[in-house]
Amino acid sequence: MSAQSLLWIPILVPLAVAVFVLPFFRKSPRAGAMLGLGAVVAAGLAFWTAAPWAPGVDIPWVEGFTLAFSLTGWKTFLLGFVFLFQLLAMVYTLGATRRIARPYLHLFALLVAFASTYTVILTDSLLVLVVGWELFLVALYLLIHSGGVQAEAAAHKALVIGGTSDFLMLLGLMLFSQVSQGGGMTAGVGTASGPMAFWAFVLIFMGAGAKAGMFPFHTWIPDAARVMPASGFAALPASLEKVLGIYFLFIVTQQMFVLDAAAKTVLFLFGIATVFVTIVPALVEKDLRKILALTAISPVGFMVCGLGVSEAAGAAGAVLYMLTHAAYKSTMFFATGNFEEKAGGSGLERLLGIARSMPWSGAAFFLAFLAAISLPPTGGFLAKELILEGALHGGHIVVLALLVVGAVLNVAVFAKVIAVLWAPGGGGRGEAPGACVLAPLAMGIVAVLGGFLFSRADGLISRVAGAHEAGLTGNVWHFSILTVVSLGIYAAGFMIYAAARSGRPSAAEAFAPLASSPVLGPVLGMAEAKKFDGYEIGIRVVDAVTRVVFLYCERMVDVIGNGVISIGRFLLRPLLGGAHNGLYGNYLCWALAGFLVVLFLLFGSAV
Amino acid sequence: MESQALMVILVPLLGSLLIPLAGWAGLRKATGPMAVLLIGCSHLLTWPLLGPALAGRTGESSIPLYRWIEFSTNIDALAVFMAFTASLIATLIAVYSLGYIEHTEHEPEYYFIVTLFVGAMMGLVFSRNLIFLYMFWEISALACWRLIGYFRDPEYVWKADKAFLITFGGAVFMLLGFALIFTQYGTFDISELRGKEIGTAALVLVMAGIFSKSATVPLHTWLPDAGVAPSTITSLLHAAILVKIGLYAFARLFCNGMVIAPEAQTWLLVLALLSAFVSASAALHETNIKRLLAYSTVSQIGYTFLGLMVFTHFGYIGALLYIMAHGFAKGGLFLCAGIIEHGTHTKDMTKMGGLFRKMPVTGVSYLICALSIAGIPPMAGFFSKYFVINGLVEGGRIAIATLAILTAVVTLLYMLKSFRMVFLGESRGEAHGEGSPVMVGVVAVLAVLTLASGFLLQLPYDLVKVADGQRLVNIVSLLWR
Repeated sequence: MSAQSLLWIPILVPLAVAVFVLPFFRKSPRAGAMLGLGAVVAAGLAFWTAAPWAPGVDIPWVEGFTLAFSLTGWKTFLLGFVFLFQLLAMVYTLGATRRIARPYLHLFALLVAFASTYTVILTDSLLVLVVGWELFLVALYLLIHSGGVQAEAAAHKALVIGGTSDFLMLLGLMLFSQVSQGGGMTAGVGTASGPMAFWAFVLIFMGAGAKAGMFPFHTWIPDAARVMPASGFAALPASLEKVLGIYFLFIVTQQMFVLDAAAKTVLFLFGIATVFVTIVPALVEKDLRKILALTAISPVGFMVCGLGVSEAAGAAGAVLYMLTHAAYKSTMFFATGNFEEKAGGSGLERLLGIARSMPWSGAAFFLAFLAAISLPPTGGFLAKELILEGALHGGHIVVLALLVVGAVLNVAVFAKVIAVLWAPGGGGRGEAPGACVLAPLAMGIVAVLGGFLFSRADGLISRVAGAHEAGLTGNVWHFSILTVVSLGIYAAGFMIYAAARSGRPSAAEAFAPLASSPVLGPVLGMAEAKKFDGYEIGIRVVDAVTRVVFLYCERMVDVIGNGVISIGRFLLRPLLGGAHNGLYGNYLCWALAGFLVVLFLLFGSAV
Repeated sequence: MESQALMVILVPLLGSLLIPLAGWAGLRKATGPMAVLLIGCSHLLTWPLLGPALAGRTGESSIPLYRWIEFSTNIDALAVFMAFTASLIATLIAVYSLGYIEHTEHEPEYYFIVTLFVGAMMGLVFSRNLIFLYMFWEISALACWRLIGYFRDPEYVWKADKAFLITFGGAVFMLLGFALIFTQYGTFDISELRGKEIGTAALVLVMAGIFSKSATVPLHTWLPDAGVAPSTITSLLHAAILVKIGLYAFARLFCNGMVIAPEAQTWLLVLALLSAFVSASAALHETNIKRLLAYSTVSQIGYTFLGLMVFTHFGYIGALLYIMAHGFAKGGLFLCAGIIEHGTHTKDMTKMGGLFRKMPVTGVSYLICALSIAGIPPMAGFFSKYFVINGLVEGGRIAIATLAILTAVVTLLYMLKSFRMVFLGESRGEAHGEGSPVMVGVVAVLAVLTLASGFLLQLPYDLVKVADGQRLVNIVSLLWR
């Protein structure tokens, strides 16, 4: 088998197995999960085997949609992580099938999502990327559905938000195609070259950002986190979806466009907004799933800002943060799945001290925590330092300052979570099944060792991020002003938590006063009531506009039309009443008469 | 090639007359299979036309009849594409009818008119003469009139009359338009009219006919009302034949024939966009499943018109592909609605819910077809919608493209709403299981076709690309002249 043909395996094998699993493994989901695991391994083996040859295929399909796929060193690096996430998600699913309301649908959707992830990363064609991306969206919709009836509203919301942003992105790609004259992923169009180029950038950025979970397209994530199976959330919204979104944002900001100041401002505005609209509610949130969902969104703001600084360090930081975040957030979700299975829910009050009685799941969560607060030597440390370094060197001091504040609040949120999970008093509940422990532990170790792993790939990362010379990640380990800033972040974060915790009966209540504070309280209350939810606002606007159009335009036309027709019918009643009398013979006579006319026309002249 | 095309027309048209004879001869049960056979034969006869059409070969034939009237045919990629698609969907609907219509009272009549309907469509597709185009147009209107009022309730008959009066009124205007064209250029032959600029009055008259047949706002209201017809008929009207007639006529008369002034083109585009948006708005607030799907058809027809009316390469390709994609998906959706109506005895979606557990195959088929209409890949609806909007961008109509995208968002909303109300959540009423195996089988085939026409898009794409090439050749040859 040639290296070129091996490229198809990661896409086609999971798809084929998905189609097989859905109808035939409804009654035995564990067997289906085993088969799915086999498909994941086969896909991984295929691209690892093909990687040394760096193969590429280029098959013209329909116009604009060239089936162009390639496997470069950079893609192999990314796919290595993707493979790991998929493998561990499937291992976890193997142990957690009984927890899932519709396990067969869950497996099907996971495998389709895996195939579409490979499609998105392997392709060099923008339009094929969009197709893969949409396939992923459909898989996400079905995956949320696998959570049962209570998950249906969240699935609907995810598909509407994803579909809407993708439509906008498609329009952006069409405009991009015009301004770049058919240029592909490496066109390098200046956003300052004209209004069409700028709007193309904004629309594509929105679409890619929405996939990554950027404000204001993020609101489905906390909703989905509450209702979808933990393994599904860990696999898609927490990891693979972010990877795809940031991967494409990287291509957009570093390859497709050359950003001017206005475009960078757009990135910063959305990036900073993403950080704060989620991290502040996370402080007062009392449900662990929702906290993890909210803290899965705020890092996207860091990544977007990293890409916006237009420095190699920022871009490298964004990409590494994307991988680290996927690792630690899926670890946390896996572990949370174990916790809530034992505790009977994900409310913080229920989870007090649970990590003490589930040491392995607790250990995994703790490893992820280290990466989440960016302690060295984790990948989170390396990534966040690079982003801050990019902002500093790019002269974006305000952005830097706001990101630091966001990072401090992030530490405070996770300090609260850790304090809840290890609170005194938990015990006697027992550990989760082996597969459900193995996956988070392995992923947690990857999250912690990320810093070393990334340092070993320094040459590749520096080249991809556009650095003039290697050594991008090495610089982070030297003492600098940013080291002091990082130490300040940890210290400030823990101090804020300690101050909030003092005088409260439990760690879960640490930031509760914020919810009743004079300014922030009402704002948080309105946010909880979805008053700022872009989806809810959008739906209300669409509903109002379309209702007006329906009632005052469409119905009006019908009323007028019916009036005119009634008059016409009254005038033609004798003719119509006789002609349309419901008697079969009558209609037949009509047809025969018509047939005679045709015969006359055909042969009349001859006669 | 020419005789083959003639057979495609004559087999269902003349064969339909055998069906009532069979009914009279007491072979009532044989009328269904006869209709399937006739329509299926008509479809099979289009297969040999595919090869020459893909190779870019065209054919013309002419039978002189009465003075300046002659029955002339035009066989090119556009005609073959339309005939193939329409007859394929019609065949599937005829098969579905075997399970759906068997308990009704006037079975032979139903099959007779359905077969005649398909014959009229085939005749219209291959006609090169405006008079014959009009004649087949009116046969389809009469067939449609009878079929909408099939169940004979006074309310249904009123709605059938409404459909007939709107489409007939439009057709009369169109005939006047043809007369104006004849007085200006002295011919009814479409190929001789190629490159001739059509006057405003004639354009308005012809477009009145086209818009009334294709249910475009403000002449659309008959189509949602036609939902009282049996589901097979609504499917036939929406997916295979009736509303596609107007689209085909526009493609034939204006994309491959007469020239429209740029100002008029802008107005037509605005009207098509308005139609797409107004009906999408109506669909979002509709709770009757068949009316919702009917509004959706009006909206999608608006989309297809956008592709045709922008007169660009991508627009034309996208519009033709969308005729096919919409045909498969909307055919499937209406037939799903038929199964649902059979199972729940209601069309009101507020009384449904939770049907996925009882009708899994219908549910999956509905979802696939709905996602195609909503423009989600890898279904064919995505690719064709993409081409249409790209055609608008290509033609410099960026504002219209943007509004078309927003309309696509509304489409996604109402399609998901319908799926959710019918299949998800808790059950809100009594419901039986799936329909008969034949009905469910046909629905599944249409869903598979919807999926396959996305994955295997290259097959129809090659044909519509040839059709676009022939359109461009016409334009270039005119410029050369």
